[in-house]
Amino acid sequence: MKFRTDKDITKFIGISLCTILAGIIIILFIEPVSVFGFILILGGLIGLVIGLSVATKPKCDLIEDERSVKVREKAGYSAFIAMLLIATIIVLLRMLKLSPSLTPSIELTDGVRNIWIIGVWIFITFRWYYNKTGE
Amino acid sequence: MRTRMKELRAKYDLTQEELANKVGVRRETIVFLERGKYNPSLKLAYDVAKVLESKIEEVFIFED
Repeated sequence: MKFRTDKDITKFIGISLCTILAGIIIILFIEPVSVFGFILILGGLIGLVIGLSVATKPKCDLIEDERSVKVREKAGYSAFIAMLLIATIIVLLRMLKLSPSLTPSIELTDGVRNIWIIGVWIFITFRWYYNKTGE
Repeated sequence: MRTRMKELRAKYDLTQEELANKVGVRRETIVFLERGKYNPSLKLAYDVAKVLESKIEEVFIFED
């Protein structure tokens, strides 16, 4: 596996490593149980994984072309339809009282957060799928 | 849809990455075009044909 070592990648990986180091320093020397420290370590690790994953791809695989735009649009549309279907099923279950556990009113913030999380994952999955299948 | 991209690319001694750079698309797009798994827009078909110094219908063969 070849890794690109251009300036942008090196800078991104360097920032991720510094973030992890800052998190470790906070936990070791400032506050042993620090949420901020853990967030820094987690964020740094995620950045490191993304940086390494991007570094394995040739630069021309990262530009936006008509196929990547089509894939993104198709994934977005599919995610929207999937979200509508999920919302419809939940509403029908509540209307028909088939699922008592879903009948109590869910707080709006919880609903929005869940829709956001599910929507983002569905979008990422569809984008990956359409990218693998051609369009 | 069939394409003669691979054959024409070999004629001009171009790798998929080189062709992608000349056309201005991702290498993956060239891979899917060669496999006939992606229908290009007229603009992309024109750009590919231009780089391969051929006519669009010589590069992309549409079958009924």
